[in-house]
Amino acid sequence: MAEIFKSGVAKTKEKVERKSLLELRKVIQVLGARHLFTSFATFPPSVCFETQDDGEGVVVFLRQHPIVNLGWIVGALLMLTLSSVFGFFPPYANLPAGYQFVVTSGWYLFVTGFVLAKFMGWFFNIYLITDERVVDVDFLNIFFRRISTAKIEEIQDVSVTSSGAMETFFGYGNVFIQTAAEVSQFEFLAVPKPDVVGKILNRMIDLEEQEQIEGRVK
Amino acid sequence: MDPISILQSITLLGIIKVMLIMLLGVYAVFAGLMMRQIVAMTKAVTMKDDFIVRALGILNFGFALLILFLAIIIL
Repeated sequence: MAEIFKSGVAKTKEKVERKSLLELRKVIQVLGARHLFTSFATFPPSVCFETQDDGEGVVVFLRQHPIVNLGWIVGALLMLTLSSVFGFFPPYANLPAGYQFVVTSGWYLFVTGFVLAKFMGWFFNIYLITDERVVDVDFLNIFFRRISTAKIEEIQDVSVTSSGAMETFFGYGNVFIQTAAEVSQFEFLAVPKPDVVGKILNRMIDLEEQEQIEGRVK
Repeated sequence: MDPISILQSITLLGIIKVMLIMLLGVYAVFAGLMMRQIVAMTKAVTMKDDFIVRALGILNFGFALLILFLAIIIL
């Protein structure tokens, strides 16, 4: 009897949560690419995070615009070509063939590590907006990661900035979210379509306020 | 062997060999840490097809170990 009662409660809760997501689906269009390296997607399939609640759905998935990677990609290409001029340096040229092989392989390995570290910095720096909260996954370097969250009802102000030739041309910018949570400001830096993100957030805040007025609890 | 003969046996190539192996060893540790961090991050945020990124980390660690062993054998 108790088990039936419990499962009934769980199902009701799930229905209520899904209702909020359904409402969001009505007002927010499905946008963005669906592949692994996308930097903007609404309602992305199969994206979930460690602290996600049951029934909580990801509404917006964001990463920095891919163009921000241009600097290190050019740097890595230059580093790769550098190995072809090793032979002109006397200390390298005088080394036995085995040593030259190890030095060149080591150099390529170092470039691979540099590329992977930079790529990870972009790939794992993720911003999520769910139907309940804003999540900022920071990956500063291979030794440091941080996941910050703030509830939608704790958001006090959303501001969008897009300045500079590159940002205007490629259509990316920053979204600053002031909150009453432990982390007072969330910075979604160099994200694509910042205006759309701002609009979605404002719409979600409105819906949240409406839910609170109507007395609906998630 | 007395200390003077040990010092006399040290060659420039010997120093380069030790330095290269040490550098590659440090890099292998770094690659291992990177691989662990990728696994931790893909657990923190799960995405479709994220095994590709995990595979990149494992490949980098594998290459680091391979070059380290090659260096030990060749040098």
